[in-house]
Amino acid sequence: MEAQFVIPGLGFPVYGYGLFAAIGILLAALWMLPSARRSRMPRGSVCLFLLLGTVLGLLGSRLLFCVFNMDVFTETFENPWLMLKISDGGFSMTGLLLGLFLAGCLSARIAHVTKWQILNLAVPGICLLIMMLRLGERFTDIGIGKALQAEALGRSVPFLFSEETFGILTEYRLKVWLYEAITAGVLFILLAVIYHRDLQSGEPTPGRCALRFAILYGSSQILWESMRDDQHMMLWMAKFGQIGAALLCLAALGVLLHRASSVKKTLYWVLAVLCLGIAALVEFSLDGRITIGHPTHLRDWIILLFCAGGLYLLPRLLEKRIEREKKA
Amino acid sequence: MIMSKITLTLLSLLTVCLVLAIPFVVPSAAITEEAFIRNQTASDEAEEDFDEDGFDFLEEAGVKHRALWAGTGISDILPSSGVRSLPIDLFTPGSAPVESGYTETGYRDETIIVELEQERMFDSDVYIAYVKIATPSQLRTAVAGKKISATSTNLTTTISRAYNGIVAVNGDYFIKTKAGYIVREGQTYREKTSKNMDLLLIDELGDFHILKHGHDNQANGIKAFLSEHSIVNGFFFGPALVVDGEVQEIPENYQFAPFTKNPRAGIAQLDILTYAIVVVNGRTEGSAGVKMAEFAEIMKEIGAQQAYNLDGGNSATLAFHGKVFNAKPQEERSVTDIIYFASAIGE
Repeated sequence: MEAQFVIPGLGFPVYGYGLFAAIGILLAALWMLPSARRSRMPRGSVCLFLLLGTVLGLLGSRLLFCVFNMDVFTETFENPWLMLKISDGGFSMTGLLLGLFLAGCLSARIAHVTKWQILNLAVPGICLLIMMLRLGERFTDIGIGKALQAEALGRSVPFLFSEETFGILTEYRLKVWLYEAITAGVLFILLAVIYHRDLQSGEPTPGRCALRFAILYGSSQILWESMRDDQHMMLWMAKFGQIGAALLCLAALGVLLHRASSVKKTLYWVLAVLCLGIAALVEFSLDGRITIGHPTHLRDWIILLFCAGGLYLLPRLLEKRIEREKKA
Repeated sequence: MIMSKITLTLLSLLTVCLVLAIPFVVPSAAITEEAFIRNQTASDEAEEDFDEDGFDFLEEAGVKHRALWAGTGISDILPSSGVRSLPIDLFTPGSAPVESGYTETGYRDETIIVELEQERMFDSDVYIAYVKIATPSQLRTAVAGKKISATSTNLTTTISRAYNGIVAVNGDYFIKTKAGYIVREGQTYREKTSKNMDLLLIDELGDFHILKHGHDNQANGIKAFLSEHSIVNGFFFGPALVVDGEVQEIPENYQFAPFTKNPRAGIAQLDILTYAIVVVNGRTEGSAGVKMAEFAEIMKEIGAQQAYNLDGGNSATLAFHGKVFNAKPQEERSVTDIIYFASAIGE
């Protein structure tokens, strides 16, 4: 149920999720504006990105949701404008990121700066936005994960799990929205440090901050999305958010491979595909479609963690190699 | 590019207005329940029944079968007078069963008799639960979440334990479908007819009514049904296996790979307040599973008057006393809904 608040004197309700989204955008602006001044970005470039980002982010997240849930919009073939009825709810994080990327490219073009300059500046702010959006999921039906197999763990660390009465039982479910929010918060700190360090020392790799966001966020989401149990943005049995996260890692790897000169590109791609293949098998096991050995959620998620780790390490190792080559 | 102050001010104002509007228009990343319900009943006819092909089926193997004889214990008459019905409510569990009433292969109290058997048919392991209940309200359904439209999943055994289910089977995984009259304990989730898939409706007397596929056929059938009965539970999977005691021909274009051997799950009504749950293990060397026509034969052999196929494959689970009864090498799969039988003792 979407939590609504009625502000006295206002007369109409405010959605908890929407409120947190708005706070996220304001926090992103609070990060971007002073950082842009410090990095001597053209006046107005941040404002332009924020405006375009809000519009394109909303549009992108909504349209991608509609594409994956066409069956829900039974009326849209008669009235396609219903897809823009955002008050019905239905947004996609992957679509949001696509919209923000497009906004970054557009605003860079208008402001006559490189897209990497805008994206490097934007990604810590985007982490703040993601953090608030995930916290906002607390007010909705999504963001709750699978039931905990080890109930004792739920009782011992209750704030990490959602306690729910289920018939005569009490079950504990993973609070995936919380884990994702904490991850986004940690990512913000990491990327803010990287951004400021690059400002002081000169950026060794163009788009370093943005690429680091892609591989860190992408690899962490591969694991968190696997824990969700909300059937949001499903593509057959796969979660599109997980596929989008894997594609982010692959995109970062692709960009870095394009820049690298003396590396065995095929080897990197083969290793990346291997990680993805194992991750896909694990997902089949988690969904109960195949049985490998004596599966438990914990075992499968540990394997997935290694796969996500692999998808993080491959571009990182490549990045270090490129930096070494540049210094040499 | 350096923006003029006016342009910058206008841009900033526009951005602030947009951002301030978001709390009033963005309710959730998921579609709201109100919009969802509106879309579930937007039109009576669905163009497609299923939004994905989530089932992978193996190649068929050679078969042979033998007849099955129903246990005689199930013909015992239960003392139904003085037993009050359980509330028709999706989130009210059945009465707590009497632990001493359980045996390895059954359960008995004053309101319910359950007998389980394992047989070998068509080179596969067939698990049958015969159930006789005192009141129709003891044939119940449950979902894994906190409301009928919840998308959470859980193990059949866990959901069964949560609702005091004595014996249970996985349901029709209705959140994956786009059509059908989906009703759970009197609560309607969807009201749509289907061109390709059969419906099972259970009325307030606990009787099964199977409506074969076809928009007109189902629309007329539902109209006639509602003039005499109310829908307590409605399922959308199928195909119909046995209707009025007659084995049904399986349509060629029916979904769920009906002509290959696979694990199956189904439910049947044998008589007034007398039912059977049948689950066939598959995808192993010792038990390949059955084709839909073979499954229909099994239902006929056990004396089904009405029989309906439910979600099979790795979902097929017969839960008894909170544990998996149809021992299979595959791990139990999480599902969204179950059908279970509960005791009404103490009501």
